[in-house]
Amino acid sequence: MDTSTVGIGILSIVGVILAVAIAVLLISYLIVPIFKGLAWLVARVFHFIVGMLKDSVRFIGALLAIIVFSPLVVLNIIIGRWSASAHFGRAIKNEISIAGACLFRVLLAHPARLFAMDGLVEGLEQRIPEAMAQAPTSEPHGKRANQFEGYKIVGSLPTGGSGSKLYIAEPDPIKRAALERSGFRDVNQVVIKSFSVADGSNLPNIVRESRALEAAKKLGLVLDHELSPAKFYYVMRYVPGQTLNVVVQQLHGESDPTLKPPGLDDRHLRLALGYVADLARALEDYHRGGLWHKDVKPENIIVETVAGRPQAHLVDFGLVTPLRSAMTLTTHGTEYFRDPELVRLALRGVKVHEVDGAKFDVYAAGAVLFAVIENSFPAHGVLSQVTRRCPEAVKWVIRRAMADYDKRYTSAAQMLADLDVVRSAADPFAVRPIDLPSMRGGVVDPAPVADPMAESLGGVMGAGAAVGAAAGVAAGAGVADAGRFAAVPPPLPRQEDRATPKRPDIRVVNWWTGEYVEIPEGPSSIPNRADGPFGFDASGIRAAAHDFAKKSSAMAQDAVAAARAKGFNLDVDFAMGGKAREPRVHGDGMRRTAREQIESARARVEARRARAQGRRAGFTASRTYSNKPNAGAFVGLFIFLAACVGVAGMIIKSANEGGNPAASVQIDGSSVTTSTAQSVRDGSIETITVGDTGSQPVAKGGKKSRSKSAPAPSVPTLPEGSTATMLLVSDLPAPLSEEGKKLLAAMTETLRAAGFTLTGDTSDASIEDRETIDRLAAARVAVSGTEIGSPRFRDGLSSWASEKGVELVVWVRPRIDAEGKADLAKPPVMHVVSQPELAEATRNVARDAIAFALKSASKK
Amino acid sequence: MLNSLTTGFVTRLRANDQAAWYELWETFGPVIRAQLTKWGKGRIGAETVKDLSQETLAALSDSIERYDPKKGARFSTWLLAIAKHVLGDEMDRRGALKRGGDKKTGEFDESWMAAARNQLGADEVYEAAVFRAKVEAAIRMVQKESDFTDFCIYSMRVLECKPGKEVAEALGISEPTVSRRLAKVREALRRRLGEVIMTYSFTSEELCEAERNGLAVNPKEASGPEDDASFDEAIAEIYHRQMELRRAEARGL
Repeated sequence: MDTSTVGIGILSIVGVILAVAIAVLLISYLIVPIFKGLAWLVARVFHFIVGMLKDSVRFIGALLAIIVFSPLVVLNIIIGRWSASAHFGRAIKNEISIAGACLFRVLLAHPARLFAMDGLVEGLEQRIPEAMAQAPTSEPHGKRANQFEGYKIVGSLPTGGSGSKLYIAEPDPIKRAALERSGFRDVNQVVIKSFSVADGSNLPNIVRESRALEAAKKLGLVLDHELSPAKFYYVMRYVPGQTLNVVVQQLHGESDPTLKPPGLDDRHLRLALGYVADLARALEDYHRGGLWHKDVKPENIIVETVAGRPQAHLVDFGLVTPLRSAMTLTTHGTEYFRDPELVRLALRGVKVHEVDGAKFDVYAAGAVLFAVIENSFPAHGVLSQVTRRCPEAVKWVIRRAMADYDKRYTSAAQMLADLDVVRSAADPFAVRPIDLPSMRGGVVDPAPVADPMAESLGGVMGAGAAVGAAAGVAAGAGVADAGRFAAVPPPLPRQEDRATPKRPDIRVVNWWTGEYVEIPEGPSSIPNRADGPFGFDASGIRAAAHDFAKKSSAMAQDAVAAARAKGFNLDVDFAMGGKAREPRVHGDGMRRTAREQIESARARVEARRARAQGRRAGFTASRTYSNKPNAGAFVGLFIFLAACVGVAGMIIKSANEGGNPAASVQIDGSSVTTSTAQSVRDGSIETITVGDTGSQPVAKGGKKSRSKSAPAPSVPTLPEGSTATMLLVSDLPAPLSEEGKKLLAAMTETLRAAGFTLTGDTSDASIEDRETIDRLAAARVAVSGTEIGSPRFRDGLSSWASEKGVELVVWVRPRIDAEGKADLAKPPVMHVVSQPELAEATRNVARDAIAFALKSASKK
Repeated sequence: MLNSLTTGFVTRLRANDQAAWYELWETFGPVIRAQLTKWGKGRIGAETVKDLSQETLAALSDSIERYDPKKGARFSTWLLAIAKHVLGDEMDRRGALKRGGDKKTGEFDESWMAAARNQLGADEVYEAAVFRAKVEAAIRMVQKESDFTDFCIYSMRVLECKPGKEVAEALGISEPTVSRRLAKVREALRRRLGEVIMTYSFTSEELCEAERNGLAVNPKEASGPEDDASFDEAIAEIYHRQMELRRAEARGL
C-alpha cells in the first residue's frame, strides 16, 4: 500500500475523530444548553398558560359563589337569622379575597413570572392580606371608648382563638401617673385584652389566663388588670410593628435572588438572627421569672423599629403557665412550634411542675429559627431539613434546640450564647459547630461580644454602644450591661430592674386629680443618703435635730412651769419653730373629727364606685358585639341589590325594545285586545283577540301601546289615495263552519272597504286561483316549525312578506280548547304581521278594521 | 402470621393506650392526610384534611375491636378503608347540607376486608408512602435513643450527604470517629427499622417490603461496606421523599 494512501487514511480517521469530538463538544456546550433554554422557555409559557386558565376559572367560580351567597345573606336578614347572614357574609368576604387574589395573579403575577420577574410579586398576595388583617380596626365611639376605667380605646386588634377582644387604648393622666408610680414609664399606648362571658369568652380561657397574672405583673408584662364577675381584662404595653412571619417574608424577598442555594444574604441573615436572639433573651426573662410562655411562634413575635433599630418582642401570653404549677399539662399551643414530646407527656397526665417547661419554649425558639431561615415551618419536627442558605453553626443551633427533651439546650440562655457567637462572627459561615459555647461543655462565655445588629445596620450605632455588652446569661449573672441594650434593646425590662423600681420624689399639686410634680434631685433637696453634696447621711442629723428639739421643748416647759410656780409671769409659745400650726378647718370653721373625715372619704369612694358600676352596667346594656350582619353581609346585600337593579333594568329595557305592549279597543261594549311585538329589523306582529262583553281590558304602557275607550263608530279607512297589500291566511279547520264563513266574509268585506288590497283566504277566493294557493303555501312553508305568534314566526313571515312585496299578513288562528282541539265557539285570534317601513297610521287602520270585522262577525 | 410486637401494638390500641394512638397518628397521619388531599381533588381544604384525618383515627378507635388481621388485610389498607369512609361521609354530609336536610353517619362497611385492594385505591404509590412512613418512624425512634452528636453526625453525613471530612472538621473530631459513630447509629436504625416494620406489618408481604426497598434490616446479613452504603442511600432517599411530602403539606397550609 502506498504511504500517501496510508497517510490519507490516517488523516481521514483523525479528521473523523476530530469531527466527532467537535460534534460532541457542540452538543455538550451549545446544543444542550440551547435545548435546556428552550425547555425552560416552554415550561415558563406552559406554566403561564395553565396558571392563567386556572386562575381565570377560579375567578369565575368565586364570582358565581358570590352571586349564590348574596341572596342568602339578604334572605337571612329578612327572616331575622342574623348568625346565618353573618356566616354567608363571611363566605362572601372569603370569595372576594379569592377573586382578588386570582385577579392579582392574572393581571400581575403570571405575566411577571413569564418574564422571569418572580421576585417582583413573590408572596405579595399573602403578605398584603396578612398585613391588612392585622391592621388595627376602627375606633370605638361613645361609651365603648371608655369601657375600661382610666383608658380610652383608640382602636382594636384582630383577636386570636381565646375568645377575647384586643383593644388599643391610651391611659388618661391619672392612670398614667399611677403606672409611673408603679415603675412603668412612658406608657403612651397599651393593649387591653378583655374577656367577657357575655361576649363569648369561655370560663376555662378566663381561668387559664388569670392564673399567671400575678407572675406576669411581677415580670412587668402586665401593667394593670381587673377581675370581676362581669369582666376580666389585663393591660399590656402596645408594641406597634409587624409580626415576624411578615418580616421574614420581606427579608427573603429583599435578599439577593442569585444566591445558591437561595436564602437570606449575610445582611438579612444577621437581622434575622438578631430577632431570634431577642426572642431567646425574652424567653430567658420569662423562665427566670418562673413562667413558661407556651405559645412561641412567629405570629406572636412583633418586630418594632425604634430609632431605626429593629427589635423583636414576644407578645400574647394567653397560654403563659407558671413553671411550678401543679396543674396537669395540656396540649395547648401551635402545631409545628410545639414539641411533640409535650403532647405525649400531656397524654400521660404529667403535671407541669414535673417537667421543665422552659425546654418546650426552647424547642419553639428553635422552630422559629428554622422558620426564619427557611421561610416555612418545620413540618418534619426535629428531622426537618434546612434547604436554604444557612451557616452550619445555625443548623446546629436549630438541631440542638429542637432535639429530644433531654438533649436540647437546658435554657434559652445557652441558645442565646450560641447565637451570639454566630452573630458576632465576621463571617457566620466560617463558624463551625465546635466553636459554639454549648459544644465546649455547655459553658456560656460571658466575654463581651460586638453587637452584629448594629454593624448590619451600617454603623448606625456607635462602636461604643455596640460593643462591650456582657452576655448576662450565665447563672447568677446579674443585670446585663446597658451597652448591650443600647445596641439591641431587650424586649422586656430585667427582673432586677423591675424588682426595685426607682420611684421619684414627688409633690402632689392637686390631691383630687392626683396631679403631681417630680422634685428634681439636686442641692436644694435634702439628701437622704450618703451621696449628698457633703458625702454624709443627713437623715441622721435630721432625726437627731428632731429629738433634740423635742427634748429641749420638754425641758423648757418644765422650766417655765417652775418659774410660774415661783410667781414669774411668762408668755411663751412652745410650738416647734416658734409658730403653732393652724388646725385644718372646713366650711363651718370647725375641724372635723377623724370619724367624720373617714365617713366622708368612704362616701366619696362609694359615690365613685356607684358611678363606675353605672358606667359598666351601661356598657353591658349597650353592648353591640353579636352575630349581627358584618361587613361581608353588607357587601353581600350591596351586591344583591346591585344585581336586582341590573336585572330590573334589563327587564325594563327588554320590555321597551321587544316587549308585548297591549292595547284594547272597545267596540259596542265588547273589548278587543291587541298586543304588539316589534322588532326594528323584522317588523311587528300584532295579536288581536275578542273578549266577552263588559270585561275590563288590560292595557300595558309602552312605546307602542295605546288605549281607546271610545267605540269605533264605523269602518276605519285608509287615507284617500293610499292602499296596502294584505294577505289573509286562515287556519280555521276545513270545511269551514258557519261562524268561520261569516268571519272570513266580514274580514274580506271590512278590509276591502278599508282600502286594503286583500288576497289569500278571502271569502271569494277560488280554488282555481293557483297563484293565491301557491302564495299561501309559500307563506305556510316560511313559518313551518314555528309557534304561531312567536318571534320566530314573526321574523319568518315578515322576511317572506318582504320578499314577496306583501305589506301586511293577517293570520287567523282558532282558539284551542283543553283537549287540544280547535274551539270554534269562541272568536279566533288574529296575528297581524306588518313590514317595518309600513306607516303607523296604516297599521292602526288595519288593526281597527280587523277588530271591527271580528266584532261584526260575532254580532251576526 | 402475627408476631408479638404486632399483637402487642394492636392490644395497646384496643386498650386505648393514648401513647400508642399518638404513635400511630405521628406515623401514619401524614400518609392519611396526603391520601385525603389526593382524593379531595381540591374540594377540601388543608384544615378539613387535618380534621378528617383525626376523624379517621377516631373511627378506627371505634372499630379496632372488629379488625381481624387473619383475613389477610394490611394495616395500611385498613386505615385507607376507614379514611375513605370518613371522606365519603363528609361529602355526603356536605351534599345533604346543601339540600337543606341532614344525614346520619353511615355504617362502616366491613366487606372491604374481602374486597380487592384496588377497589380502595390502595395503589403502589400509597403502599410506598406507608412504607416510607414506617422508615421515618424508625429514624425518629433512633434520633430519640441516640446520642445527640451521634445522630447529628448521621444526619449530616447521610441525610444531608456531606463528606466525612467536612463533618469531622465541623465537629472537631477525626474521620474514623465519624465513621465509628455513623456505624453505631446505622446499626441502631437497622434494629429499629426491623421492629417498626414488625409492629406495623400484618402480612408476610409487608414484612418483605424492607428487603425489596434495599434495606437489609438484619445487621448480620449486611456484611460489607457496600451494604452499608446502599442502606444509607436508601434511607436518604426515603427521608427526602418524606420531606417532599411534608413540604407539600406545608404548602397546603
